[in-house]
Amino acid sequence: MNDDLLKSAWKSQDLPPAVFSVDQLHSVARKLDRRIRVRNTLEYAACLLVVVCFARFTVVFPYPLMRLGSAMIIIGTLIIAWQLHVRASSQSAPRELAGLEYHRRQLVRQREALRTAWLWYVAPLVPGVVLFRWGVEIELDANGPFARGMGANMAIAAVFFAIILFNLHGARRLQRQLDRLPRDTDNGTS
Amino acid sequence: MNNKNQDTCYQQAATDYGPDLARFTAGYERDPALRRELLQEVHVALWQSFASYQAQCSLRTWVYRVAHNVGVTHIQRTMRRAERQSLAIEDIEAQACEYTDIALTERRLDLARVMALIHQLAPLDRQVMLLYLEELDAASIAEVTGLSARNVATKVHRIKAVLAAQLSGGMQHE
Repeated sequence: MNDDLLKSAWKSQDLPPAVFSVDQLHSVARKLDRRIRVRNTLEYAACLLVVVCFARFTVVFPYPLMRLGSAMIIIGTLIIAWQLHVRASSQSAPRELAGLEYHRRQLVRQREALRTAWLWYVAPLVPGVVLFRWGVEIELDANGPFARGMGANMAIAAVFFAIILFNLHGARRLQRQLDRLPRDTDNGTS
Repeated sequence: MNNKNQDTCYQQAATDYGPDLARFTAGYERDPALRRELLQEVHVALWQSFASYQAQCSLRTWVYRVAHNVGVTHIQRTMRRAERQSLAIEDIEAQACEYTDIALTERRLDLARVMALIHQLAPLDRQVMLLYLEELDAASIAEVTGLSARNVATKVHRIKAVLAAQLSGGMQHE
């Protein structure tokens, strides 16, 4: 099959075009917005769960370090929720951009979110978790076995490191895609 | 742009380029049900985009850009799932052999191979290939994609070579 035949076969595919009234488009747009809102609500609900849980710890535990740690975890969680909100609200690249520029901006946006995840997703929780765990070690469970405390601390640190490494790996993958994009453009941003 | 103009522009675009949009979405999503959803998403994005349309470029360029950018976002969103579901050329050839039992034409088999190839391409290459199949010239492809005309010409040259190899391989297989 030569080029022309292939193009003709491509154009004669049995793919009926969709026809939408403006009312239908309004309805679909609302549905898409609702889907995004549900996803965001789930993330906020997870943050709320953490806040409620540690708010209870500030009342239940009589130890100052654990109370302070709980309060700082709540603050850290609120910072994360705020960051999620800011990032979800920020506009993605305008869809009418030329393909190369649109693709580049999308990749940069995603790469930055992953590259800085240690700062906005992990770091806000670290001070609170350290204080809380310190409180557990010296106030709540002062006579507990050293190995148990160390094991718990190592497990928490491993989770934090895994999150950071996973996100940095994703950022590097996106950077490789960015590096492969052509640099010469005629009218990329028009 | 006021709402009435936005609606008018959309309706004109949907009338003039509706079939093209349907084909583009086929290049970005294999699954028919998901493809219908993607096509809906393309139409919504197109309608929304006309709020800021002031004839910065031709209507066709605008429509194609929006459609392809929605397609690219779709690929990124579903990348992992797509990778799991993506088929190697050999899989497509195996499918093609099954199709011969139900007497599909050679034309359709070639189109199936081309579609399999399209679904393996990186977003920008895929965009160039889809526009090439839509019979756009290099200058028009450059305008939609933002690539330089020289880069488009190189990519089109490679696409032709890959297609030739793909289709001649298919014929040998048969």
